[in-house]
Amino acid sequence: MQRETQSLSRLRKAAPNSLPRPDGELEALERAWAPPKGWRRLSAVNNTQVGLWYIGAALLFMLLAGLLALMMRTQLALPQNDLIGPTLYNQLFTMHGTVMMFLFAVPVVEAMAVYILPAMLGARDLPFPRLSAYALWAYLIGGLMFFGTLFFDAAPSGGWFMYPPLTSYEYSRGIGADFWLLGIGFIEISAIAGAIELIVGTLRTRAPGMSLGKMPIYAWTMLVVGAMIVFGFPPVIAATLLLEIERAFQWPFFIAARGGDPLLWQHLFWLFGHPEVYIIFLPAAGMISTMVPALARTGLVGYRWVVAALIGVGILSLGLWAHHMFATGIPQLSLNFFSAASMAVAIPTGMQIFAWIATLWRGNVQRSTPTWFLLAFFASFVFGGLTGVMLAVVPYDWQVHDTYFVVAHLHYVLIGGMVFPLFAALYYWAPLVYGRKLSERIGTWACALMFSGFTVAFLPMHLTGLLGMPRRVHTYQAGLGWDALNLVSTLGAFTLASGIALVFVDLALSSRRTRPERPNVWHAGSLEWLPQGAYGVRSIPRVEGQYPLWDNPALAPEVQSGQHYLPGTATGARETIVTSPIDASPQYLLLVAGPSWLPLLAGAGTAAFFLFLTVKLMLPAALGGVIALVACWLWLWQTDRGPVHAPVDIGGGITLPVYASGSVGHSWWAMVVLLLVSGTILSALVFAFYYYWTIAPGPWPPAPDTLPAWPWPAAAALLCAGSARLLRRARQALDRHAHRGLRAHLGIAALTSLSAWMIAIHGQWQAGSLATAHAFDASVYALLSYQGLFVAVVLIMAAYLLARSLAGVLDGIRRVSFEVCRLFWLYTLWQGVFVLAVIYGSAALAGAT
Amino acid sequence: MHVARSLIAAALAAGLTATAGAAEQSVHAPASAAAQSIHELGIAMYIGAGVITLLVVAAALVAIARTGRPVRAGWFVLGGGIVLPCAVLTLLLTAAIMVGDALSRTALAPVARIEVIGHQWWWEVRYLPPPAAGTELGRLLARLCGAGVAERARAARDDGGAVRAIVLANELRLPVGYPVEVELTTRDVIHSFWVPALGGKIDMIPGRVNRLVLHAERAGTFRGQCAEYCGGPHGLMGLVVVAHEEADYRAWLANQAEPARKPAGDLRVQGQAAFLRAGCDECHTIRGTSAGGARGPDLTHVGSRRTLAAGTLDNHVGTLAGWIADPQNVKPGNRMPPGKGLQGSELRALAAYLASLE
Repeated sequence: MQRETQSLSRLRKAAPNSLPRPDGELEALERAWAPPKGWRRLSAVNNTQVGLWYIGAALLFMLLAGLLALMMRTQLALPQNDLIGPTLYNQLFTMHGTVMMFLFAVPVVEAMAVYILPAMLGARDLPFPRLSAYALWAYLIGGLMFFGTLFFDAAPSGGWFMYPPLTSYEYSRGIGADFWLLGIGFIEISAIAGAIELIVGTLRTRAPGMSLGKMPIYAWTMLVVGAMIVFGFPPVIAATLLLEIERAFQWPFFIAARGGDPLLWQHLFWLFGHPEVYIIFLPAAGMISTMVPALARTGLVGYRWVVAALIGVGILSLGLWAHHMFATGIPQLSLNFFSAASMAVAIPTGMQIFAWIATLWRGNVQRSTPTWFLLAFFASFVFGGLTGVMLAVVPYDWQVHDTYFVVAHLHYVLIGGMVFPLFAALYYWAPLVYGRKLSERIGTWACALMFSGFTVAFLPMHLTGLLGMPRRVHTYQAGLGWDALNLVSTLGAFTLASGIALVFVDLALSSRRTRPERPNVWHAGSLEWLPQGAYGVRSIPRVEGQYPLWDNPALAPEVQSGQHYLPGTATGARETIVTSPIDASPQYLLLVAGPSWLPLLAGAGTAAFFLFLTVKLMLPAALGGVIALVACWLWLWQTDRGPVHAPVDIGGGITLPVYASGSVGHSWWAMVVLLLVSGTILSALVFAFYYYWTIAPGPWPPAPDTLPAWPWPAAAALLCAGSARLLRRARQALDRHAHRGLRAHLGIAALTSLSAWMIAIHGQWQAGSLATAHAFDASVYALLSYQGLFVAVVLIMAAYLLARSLAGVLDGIRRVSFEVCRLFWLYTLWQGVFVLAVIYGSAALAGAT
Repeated sequence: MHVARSLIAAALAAGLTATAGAAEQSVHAPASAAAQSIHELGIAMYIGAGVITLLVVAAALVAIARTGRPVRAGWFVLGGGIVLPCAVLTLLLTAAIMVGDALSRTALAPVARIEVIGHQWWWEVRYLPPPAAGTELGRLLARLCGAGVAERARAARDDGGAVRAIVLANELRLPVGYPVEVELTTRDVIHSFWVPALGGKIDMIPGRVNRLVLHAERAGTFRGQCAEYCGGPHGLMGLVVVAHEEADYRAWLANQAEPARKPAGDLRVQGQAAFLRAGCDECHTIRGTSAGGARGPDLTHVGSRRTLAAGTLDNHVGTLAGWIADPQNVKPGNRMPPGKGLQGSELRALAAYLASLE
């Protein structure tokens, strides 16, 4: 690698830059990062702006879903109540669960990270600010439209878990289920965009010297969570694709009469659904690991153990999904395995809890609103975790599964484990936004109301469940012992709501008394408490320990006066330092994207595409799709600016280039993460394909004569290999600056990729295989269609590269666009070969035996 | 130790039933060995969970209340986070596997096979035609029911096809002391069969047959309910299970094997006529009459059932009339069409006729 990383040994003890700073340096920095004013503010992409909107949007959805919960509690307050009928009630609980999980819990933890993480890492922004903005707009616009279906009696009513066949075309004829599938589909896209941002941001934009071992636990958490999203969300993306196709085209993935199986949906859904719980809880744990040391004024006890625990939870969480399926009649032996794995999660979680208690034990704890919320967390989460262990006991679960005991458990874990820490975090980090603490008095009252309301609402629910009340019932018979308990729960729910309302009153009152400075009110040790402007920190600190502000008490004035790295803007544009992933040595200067309307446009277009598609308005849907595509094209066109500036001296004798291609570049890393997501979706589809084999009662494949003769797949595979070869030639041409050769090879490679796919699908078609006939055929066409989607993207990429080459903005040096597209393209080709091998290789093997 | 545990268990159970008033559907009012073992496991876990929660919260409170003292990370993180949970979980997992294993094996061969089919939103309960005489199962069943019943049931199957079996709706009757195998399937979406007093639940999934052995150890009436969300009025899909002493069970089964009673008296004769005129027979079967519909519940002995509309209403003439007049008001979304233009007098006659089908 020609751009070898700068060695840390060159760092000296003295601050890397000297005083006084040149005139106009700070002003230039302020100019580069000046937020757009007036209505143009909507074009802002900076993480401190987008992060706040993002948090606000997530909290809005929490309030909306909370209102739905209050409506349900009102209906359930009395037995045989007919205030709300089953039709509306089923929509209410479906939307409550879906909105809380997909539109509140996951977005809010990503939003908090978008806001806090760059400051905590010493970065000026996230590596892809426009991607965050896009994720926000797609989520906010799409989420509001999704919620709006409630007002048109078009909301889904299949439960947030959407089990077929209840949710398939035969038993859910309206468009509610489609809204769920498509709506959630693009919220998944938004979550994955966020995950890419967080992973690359955490690994590549840390302040110089902040090696992995010195990285704040919160950053570790978000790194693990990012990885969990990468591996946890794809199964549900695959599942929603399959169910929507079944609904729209009657491909029988989940229809038992035609070789499908409703349990496949449950496997795929919970393969996502369980990691999801930890995707929500771990960020909260990360916040606790940040707040506890600051409040206790002492470092976290057992840093390494906590990191190990985080990674342990991340891995274990992928292996517990079947504990949601203990009552489906799957074999006893596998039940015991999942039971043991589910219990084992208590170990890493216990390690974290005891690390926090040990830290509180060692320190002198500041008694303040966040402390009270953390106490509420301890009391409720520990109990919720223990009822979770009870649910992992298979025979016990056979009794309490799908009863109010589980409702109580999951609210103890989610409100206890995530909402209380989140509110602690709101009070803890509010000074970053308001320049002062929120009201102690209101905060204490709010916490007391929330905790008592929560306990009164959910503690009795354990009993209600044990007395036999199932979940998801719109009413219940009097005299079964549930009446008084339900009334009490309803009173508790309203008390909890009043506590939450009080927090919003506090936020509203405080926003009118905002101060510009960001005082370190808790005397915390992490970087987000450094003085900051719109540009983040004035100079990017050199980090020497886990608590930089405690390690070097003079750090704040040093940073603010510009004595650390990159005290201004070198190129006149927005910049941040990219460092190496393990030891955080500076590598190059990332030119950060500035304000733009394109992410908003692309987000709105994406939301419009999915939602118009749902209501089968094809023309507006196509229009939305085109808008999204064009906006993305224009947005990307502005990136990959090449080495626009000579290498820059950032201080401390370190000179950094302003452009990096190859595997050192941040875009390359983002593409690798995206390909991991793609590969995981593929494995979920391959899992489905083999799953049908394992459950097939008769021969498999069910109708071997509807498979194409071997020359069809063989020809397709050969064309894929040929296309990869052409792509290599294209790269060689690029190396030689041979523009014509590049274009010719790109063009032919694109055509070869397309024809490979067309031959594969035509081969299957001409053999007489019908996707609606049997789950086997449906799964074959699903794999081929998935490949088709990638080929379509490859064609767009080829056109994009050709356009860039023709416009003269793609050459042997300015080549990140080419490298990133090439990575995707190669993946697509090998995915094609793999898919063909899986389908026809397995069928041939099965036929031979 | 054992005494203390039983005392606490008794106190908790008493607390549970006191809050309950009635405990027809309680997990902690077991009527079978299976439910009993889960009940005991549950009580032990509540005590453990309560103690651990209190200790952790106390530790957190003390940690916040007092000023800093040096800590040994290993003691806290490894002791509290690894050693303690490993010890507790190993014990618990062993107990869980032992109980689960015991529950999935059955000691005795079942004496009867009952098929329960889930429908949106009711339960079809079919007493499967008895196994051939001479097999072990056949002999057991003959001993239990008396040879005559088995003979008649077999004859009924032979002359009339499937609809001639003993078919109930939303009600399951069991002999005390004998294991009965229940075969669980569904006609539409996923449901879940759950009678807490007799043990855990198991789902009814399209394309699969799940089996559950019920073994009531005391006579009584227990309530069950669909436990997997199945759309619409899922909350109103109840099930009554009655466990009879052997002699009572035998008598009940003999009665159920008979075709429906002939209507006695004008009112009931008019009721039967109204039944046919309003087209009720399109969906309902009454064995011994021309009504042979298969979409809705079999009504041959509807008068003998405890509830209507899957545990939603008590069953008597008045509720029968109300249910037939406006089923959508009683159970919104269910598949029973309203009224059918029956006049008041016809409705009364129809209700009287159905109530007489005991």
